[in-house]
Amino acid sequence: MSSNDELPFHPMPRDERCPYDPPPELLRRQATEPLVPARIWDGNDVLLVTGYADQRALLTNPGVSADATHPAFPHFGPGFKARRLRAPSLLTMDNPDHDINRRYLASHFTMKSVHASRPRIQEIVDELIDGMLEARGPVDLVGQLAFPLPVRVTCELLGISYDRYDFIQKHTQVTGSATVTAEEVNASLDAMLDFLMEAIEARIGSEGEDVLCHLTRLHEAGTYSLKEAADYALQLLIAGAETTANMAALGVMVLLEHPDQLEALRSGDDPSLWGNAVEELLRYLNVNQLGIRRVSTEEIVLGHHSIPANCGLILTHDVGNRDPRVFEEADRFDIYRQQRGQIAFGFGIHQCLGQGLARLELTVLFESLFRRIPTLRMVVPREDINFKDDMAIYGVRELPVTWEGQQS
Amino acid sequence: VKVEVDQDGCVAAGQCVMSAPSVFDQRDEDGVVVLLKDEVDRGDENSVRFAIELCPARVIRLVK
Repeated sequence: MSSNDELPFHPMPRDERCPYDPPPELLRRQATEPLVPARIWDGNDVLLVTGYADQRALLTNPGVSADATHPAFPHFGPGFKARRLRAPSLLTMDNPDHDINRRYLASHFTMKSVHASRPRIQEIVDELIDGMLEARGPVDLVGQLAFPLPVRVTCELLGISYDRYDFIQKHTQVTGSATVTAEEVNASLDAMLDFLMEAIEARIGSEGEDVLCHLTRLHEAGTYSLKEAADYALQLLIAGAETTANMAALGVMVLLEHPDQLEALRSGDDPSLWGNAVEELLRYLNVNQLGIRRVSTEEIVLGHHSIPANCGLILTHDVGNRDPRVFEEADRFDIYRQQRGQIAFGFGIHQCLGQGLARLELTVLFESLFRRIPTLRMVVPREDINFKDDMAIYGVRELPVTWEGQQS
Repeated sequence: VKVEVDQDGCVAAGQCVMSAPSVFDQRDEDGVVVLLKDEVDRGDENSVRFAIELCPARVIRLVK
């Protein structure tokens, strides 16, 4: 092993010429190094776990914890550390607490609930595309479609009025940043929590079906304090918006850069191909660019290697989803790929609760956008697009688009 | 072949319902897996294997 001064820093930089690919150094090391010692922002040392099979195995290993209060837990950045230490969250809870609390929320995310929301999601997408079609000059796809869709869907799911869009948008940009300070994050979390606690108090005695009403009943039953109930609402609000929005914008770019595959999707009579394309985009883009964070609570043997107890672990699932031992020609974007099991939503008990909803939003968005605006194209070359290297979730800040016959 | 699920360990991710909707369903109140049938016929076997592979909580298995 190299001396400590030579430890690579995580996250490693991407290659600007290949903005959809994981850092090349990490991909290169994956071939020969299942565990890579690395240093993170706070000076702590961690092990990067690079292989798909090891990542899946660790995510179901009882000796691996998600507990963010563990001293060796590797946080994303100062703001995330502050957020994780404020209150327990589903993301950082081990069992038995995790399963108990997750099940309180799961009724809103069953496949049945997700299917039932399809007509409403289609309506929202159609309205947003109507808005794009009425606009003059280039349209920012991020601001006009990619963000409004998941924020609106999440607001309706929770029962929050959509006129709070700017408020939510502003604060989730702060909480999603890997570089902001603890003070900045705490201020944004306080603002959103106050708003949600008020919304829950206003629902006491109501019989509605939205998530906030459901959380209000759990509060009334004494299961959650007012603050805990608001905290769960906040977790859903944060989890649902940024992730789907960035997948949508990057997904449009990748599809535009693969015109043959896009044409097959657009003209094909196989509706399940869109589902396949979304699955492949999730694998290919893996927008959670900072990896899955865990800590070992006992010594763990992985093949010929072992991980000591109390070691910070970063499961770099961006390269896991490009692991050539699992995915043939892993760096190729291929909507016909039959291999399933991408881990963009994680694996183990913490796998994304809203994944079905995210898939549906993305499928409806892409299918509707390219059906209604078949000549959609980017206004500027990819080199001029500003990518989000400083956020936990990778994406682009703006994506100006136009199409044939657009009003100028 | 029979399929078995451990409801206690289920995390309601819905992967089984996505993979094999004729075999798996979820309880409305908490998303926990329920079996629509426990005998898997040939037509369902592949999709049940996908469900086993994709289940993040690893609570589905086939028994002969």
